[in-house]
Amino acid sequence: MRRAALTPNPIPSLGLGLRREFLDQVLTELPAVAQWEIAPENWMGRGNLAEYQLDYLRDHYPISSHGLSLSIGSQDPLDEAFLLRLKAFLDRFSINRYSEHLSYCSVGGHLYDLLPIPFTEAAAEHVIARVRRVQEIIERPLVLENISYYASAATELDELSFIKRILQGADCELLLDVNNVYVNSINQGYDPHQFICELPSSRITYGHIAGHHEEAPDLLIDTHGAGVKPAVVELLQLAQQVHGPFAVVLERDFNIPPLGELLNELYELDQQLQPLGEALHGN
Amino acid sequence: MATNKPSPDWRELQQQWAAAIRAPNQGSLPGVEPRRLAVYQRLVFNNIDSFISRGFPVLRQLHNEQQWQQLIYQFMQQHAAQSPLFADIGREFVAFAQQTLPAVWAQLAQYERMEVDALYAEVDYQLLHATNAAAEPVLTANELLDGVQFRVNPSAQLGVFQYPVQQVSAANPQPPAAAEPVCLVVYRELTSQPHWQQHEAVKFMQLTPLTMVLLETLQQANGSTLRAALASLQPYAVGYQPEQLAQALVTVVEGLMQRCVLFLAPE
Repeated sequence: MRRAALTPNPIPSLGLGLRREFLDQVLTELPAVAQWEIAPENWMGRGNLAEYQLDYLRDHYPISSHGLSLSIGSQDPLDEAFLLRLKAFLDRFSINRYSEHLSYCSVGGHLYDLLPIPFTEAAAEHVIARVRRVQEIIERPLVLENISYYASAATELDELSFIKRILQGADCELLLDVNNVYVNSINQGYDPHQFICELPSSRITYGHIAGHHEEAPDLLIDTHGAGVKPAVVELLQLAQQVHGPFAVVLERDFNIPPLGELLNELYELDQQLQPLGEALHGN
Repeated sequence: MATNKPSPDWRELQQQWAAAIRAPNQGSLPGVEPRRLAVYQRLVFNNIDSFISRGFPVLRQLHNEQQWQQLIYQFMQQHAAQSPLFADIGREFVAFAQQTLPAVWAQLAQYERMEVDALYAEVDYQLLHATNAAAEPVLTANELLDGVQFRVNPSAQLGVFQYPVQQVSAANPQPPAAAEPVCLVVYRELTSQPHWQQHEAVKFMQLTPLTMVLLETLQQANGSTLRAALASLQPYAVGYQPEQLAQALVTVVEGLMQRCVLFLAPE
């Protein structure tokens, strides 16, 4: 049911992925949002205006960062020059939280999109060593997100075992993307409830929620281009019941509606989730 | 669920996936349903295409759908993009274009990229005395020549081309090489009070070769009087007496200050 003219909680527990499409409006109106999540790759090396905008945003909100190009699972060498630059960027804007995708996006050069790491022991070992190195360089925890994927490259391990193996082996945190769990459960044919329940609670630092597109009944695409489906909201509620409350960010990257509409969706979602303690806000 | 198949080599699998995504018409991936592989092929292509199409609108117009698609795939297959930053995809494309496209289009790609580089240039506003030309006190010709130091707008991108790249369009896709070098500057119109609400406009201007040498000289000197720059210019100003050249330059410099291309350096 769609409610009109929602009044947000004084401090909503949900954050929102920041898009340039509505950036000026955000900076002008400063709407109630728990935190903004930015992709560092879209802000680094983007000139003075981006710097002023981010400074201004930082003055008014907590900011989390969610990277796109780390390529943690790639056989290409880890880009340490980039990591040093990234660290300087995160330090410059006092951004503590850096999350990335448990995926790879480069093989002999960048492809600029997220591919599923073959789920093998050897690949897990490779990722674990790289996560440790990244955490050393950026001097922050690396929070890894379970990605959506449309085909498995290898199934020596199942997805859940692969993720748990890395979280434990690298001693790192999980960004639980419940939309990705839902999308994968349909695409790969597994039980999303069981998947969520078997994740290690202590590793879950924050969550993502988003909409997807149904290309076929057995092929969902993680577009971030539509409203969040009720089944996905239910999964998030389940995750918070099982693992305790955690900060959540709503992602919307395509078919971006007017900011007011997006905020209404956020406030509506907010009322369906457990409230967060003050201490858990932002970063 | 884990299976009992022999452990596949994950590096080999990544190579196969990347190859299948970069060259979609060259076969399939064992064990992967074509429609699922097609999702990745589409996502990767569309993402890279959108960055390049937006970054090179003129070049895009000169290609039909099929030609453009072929060019993007060629880029994906032949160029190992090193930068993790999305804003750099265009720079990667320019490097590829130099190896691949006819000279006039390779230079057009360079020119179109200058606009992005000007927009994203990091400017230290502290190094500029005043960013608003109207606020400058009126300086005499002698003061302009000897009394002040000039600095080129730090966002300025200077380009010297064989072809009139700024005139390329769908109606004029491959103009012949120009008789003398085509000198262009693309720069951000810096404002005196930088702020998150100030979207500074990107401007471009065609320059005479002599003015281009002046800007290059001042850029390299990183703050210089006009008099000091004159010496470097004299060899290019055949037929000009030093004082004539100085007078001509004073006029040029006033125009460049008005247009935000040149600034006074702080004293």
